[in-house]
Amino acid sequence: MKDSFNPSIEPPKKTVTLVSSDGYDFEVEEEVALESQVIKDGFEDKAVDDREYLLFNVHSDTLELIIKYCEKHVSSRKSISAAAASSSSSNGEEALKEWDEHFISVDTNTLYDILMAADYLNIKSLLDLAIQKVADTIHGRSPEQIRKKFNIENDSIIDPWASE
Amino acid sequence: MGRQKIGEGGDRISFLPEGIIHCILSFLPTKYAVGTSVLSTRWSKTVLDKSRINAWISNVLKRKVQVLILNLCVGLEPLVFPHTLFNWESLTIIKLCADSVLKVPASISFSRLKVLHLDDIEVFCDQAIQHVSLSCPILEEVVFLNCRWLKMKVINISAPVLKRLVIVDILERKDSFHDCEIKVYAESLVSLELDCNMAYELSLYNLFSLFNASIDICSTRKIGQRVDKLLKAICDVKDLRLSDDSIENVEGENLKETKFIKSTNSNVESLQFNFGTIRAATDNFSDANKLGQGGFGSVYKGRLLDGREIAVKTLKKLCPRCNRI
Repeated sequence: MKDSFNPSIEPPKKTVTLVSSDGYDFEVEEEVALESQVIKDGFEDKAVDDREYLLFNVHSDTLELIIKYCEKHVSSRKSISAAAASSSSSNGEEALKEWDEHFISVDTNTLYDILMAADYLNIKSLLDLAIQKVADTIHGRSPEQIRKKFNIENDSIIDPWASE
Repeated sequence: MGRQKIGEGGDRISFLPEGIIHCILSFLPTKYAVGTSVLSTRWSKTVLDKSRINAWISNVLKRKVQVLILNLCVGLEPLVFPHTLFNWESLTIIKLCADSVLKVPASISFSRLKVLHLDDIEVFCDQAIQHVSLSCPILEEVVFLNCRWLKMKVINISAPVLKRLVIVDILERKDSFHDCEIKVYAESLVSLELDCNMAYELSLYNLFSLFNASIDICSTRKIGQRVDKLLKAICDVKDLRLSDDSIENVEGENLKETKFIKSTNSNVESLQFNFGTIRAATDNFSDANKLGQGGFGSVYKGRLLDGREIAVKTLKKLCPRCNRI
């Protein structure tokens, strides 16, 4: 879906164009884009034909992931509320949680990119997810292990734990 | 996709915006959050960031802790403690040791506080009234070490069951001399320890049960009045230790003071001076002044600078002490 306008057969939906820092256009549905609080905030003031957002801080690789996340969340929210309305039992929330977990199981660099993008676009749930992931990585590890994991160079003069 | 990304492979996590790092830390148990401070200097700065510490204090207070002991040392910027510190009634022990600023409201009340230690704290009142009252009905021990009292004219400390008061100001700072008066109402005070320069006025009231007082006042400033007032307040003390410097402050500046000591120390049963004072008084323990030999050591006759006669007992292996006759 990258870099192209897809003349689909589906009924036309309101779309928004997101432009990544490296110049790729992403056409996304309005409600998917509105997962970002930043886009949501200024959305009503923008003219309908000018719904293009230049995301200078988000690389296309990352933006693709972000859109994937937002699409999943929008669609599963719909299915969860539909299930609730029909009072049929559903494990939609759990399934989404599992999906999230799988989604965020990425290498440190990608995790960093997602963090930055989620922060920049202000997507609260994704930011929390990524932060939780980093916290989980730190939890239970020794400073040396954490440094290795995140490539942190120890520039402290005194390492109070060195002798232990 | 093969496109080059900036900073790949390097340490990127450390250079996340501080807000995010704070969030990460807040998702961690305190032990691991604090543990990250040793990762590198950047982490140590972030982890030990003042807003972070304040957030911790606030969180801790919300859980109605009773004991708050905070020890900060490593060259941080002064920390301004959260105002909420004063809203928590649950605290029974507060020990703050940090180069930090404590902004206090005009009226403080800790109904359950028993022990208050402030070490290297700059206390100031942000309210125009500049009168602060601290009311602690069951407070038993107060220790102020190198505290500065700024933007305050009067601090009223009302602690009816306070037993021990210790004030130590080792450093005489340029900005530490101020027109501040600390008034302590402590009718149950038993032990008083002062090692300070009287950079502020200390008024003690209702010291009915004071037993021990150890006073070492050393200042280059004119503080005779303040020392005068202080000594008058403690004239009923049973056991008094005065350092050389304190006596010099008294004698050098205010002759009335000497008379005061004479006239009041009939109540004082035991008066202990510093070695230097004693040595001068007994002419360096000369044999001419030797009165006799007691079970504990030699007894010397001495004359203090103000003319009072004293008997000095030298205790074997202990510091020379003197008892007044």
